[in-house]
Amino acid sequence: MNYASPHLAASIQAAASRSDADSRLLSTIRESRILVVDDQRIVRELLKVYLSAGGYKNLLFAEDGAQALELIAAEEPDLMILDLQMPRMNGYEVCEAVRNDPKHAGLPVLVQTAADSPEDRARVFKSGATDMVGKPINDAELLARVGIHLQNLHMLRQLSIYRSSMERELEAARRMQHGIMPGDDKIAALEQQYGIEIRNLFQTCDALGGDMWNVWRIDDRHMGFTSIDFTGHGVVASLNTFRFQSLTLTDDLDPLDLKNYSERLNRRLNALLQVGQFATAIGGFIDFEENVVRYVSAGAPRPFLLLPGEERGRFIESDGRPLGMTADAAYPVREVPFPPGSMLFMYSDALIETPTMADPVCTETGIADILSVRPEDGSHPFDRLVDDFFSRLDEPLKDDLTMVMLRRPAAAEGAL
Amino acid sequence: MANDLKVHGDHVEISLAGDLTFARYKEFQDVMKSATSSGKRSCVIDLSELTSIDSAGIGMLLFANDETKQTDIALKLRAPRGEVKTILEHTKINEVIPVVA
Repeated sequence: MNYASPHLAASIQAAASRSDADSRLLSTIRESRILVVDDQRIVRELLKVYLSAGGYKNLLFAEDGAQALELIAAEEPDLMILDLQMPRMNGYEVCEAVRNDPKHAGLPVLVQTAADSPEDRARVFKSGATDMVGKPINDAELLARVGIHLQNLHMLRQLSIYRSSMERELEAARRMQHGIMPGDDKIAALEQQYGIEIRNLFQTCDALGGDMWNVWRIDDRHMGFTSIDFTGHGVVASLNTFRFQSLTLTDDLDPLDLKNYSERLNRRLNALLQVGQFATAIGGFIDFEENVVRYVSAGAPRPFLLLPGEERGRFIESDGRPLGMTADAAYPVREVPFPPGSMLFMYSDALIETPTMADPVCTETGIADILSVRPEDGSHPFDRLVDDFFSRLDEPLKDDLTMVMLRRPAAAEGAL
Repeated sequence: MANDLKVHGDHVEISLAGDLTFARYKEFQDVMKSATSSGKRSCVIDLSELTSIDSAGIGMLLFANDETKQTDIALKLRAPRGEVKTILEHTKINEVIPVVA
């Protein structure tokens, strides 16, 4: 009598020629440890012959339920073939014990049973069995079921390994992305140097985002700022933020010459980006001697400006062709007053288009209502705007959200 | 929200309704393919029933603009309303793709 299944051997051969990944999986499956639990020696011997003929060599044997649990703890098998009627501890009890042990709850358990009634079968599954093999054992059925459950197990393990390595990669990339934006130390240094307050929120809806913002020292008199939102979100959009970063770092143009700077940046982005990809953006600088902000805008949402003595601020112009959309975009330089006591607030469109553009939880009017109240009148308006926005959200963000506030304290407030 | 494509005497007309977001990329690409292979030299995208558009949606319009240019078809956007009109003006799309009332 030949115990090897010719069908399985053929399908194993076919699988082996399929691809390297498949053949690696196949050899992993064959190296699996299989625990056979049966009180009858003759059955253990029979299963050993069947499994060996199927290519499985790492076999463990237990004579009863208690010994099975000891072997599971000590040897950590990949699959168990379990008899039901045994001394000391029966198969149902073994099954339940395995399922209640978090360390081994995922172990595939194949129960050998002659149970034919629906009630018996239900009881087998209720105790935690993965599958059943009919008694008397048929070699082809046994090897087919063992094969399929081991394949599932190893594929799940591979997926889980892939997933955790992907998570680690994304986490590293997320840290890199945060690294291209100003950290707390840099912000504190700028606040001290220019006597300004800088508040920000940067939240991506996926691990990585297509928004970025920056503030930096140009010289003693000028501090630069940008807020940028690339099309889409996630990995592709985030790669474009790195492109943008490297373009600004390698460009030797004068950052005070906003028109040439932005138009050249636009041309270079246009050459890099695919059709349909672009960035809405605003950027410029505060001139602390002339007490003005000069800026260019590429279709960023309208910033909010509050000047000293005003009861209510206003939204300032920011229309313009998004960066990278066309090579020939022109960016006229705009100027607004920015004396001590002024505040400028910039944000990405997620703030006024969540959950939808047609019915957002936060509107320009809502922004103006909250931000027109000065910090000295209670809690900080930036915090109030953030709290107000998130308290109205009843679902996760679907786009990346960036908010940046630049505030010059009034002379009376003194240094921060 | 379905895209509606009609062939008139001398032009193709596509009506967009609802939201134009990345979720509709495939659908939009298919309808544009039908438009560019219709043999007509002119294409109008009607936006009067469109209630919102995000950056991916604007990207899709730019993509349509690129495709029609390559196949020598004149593309126009028609009748954007409300927030859609505001955002198209704010991002100066009307300078890139002609918008008619």
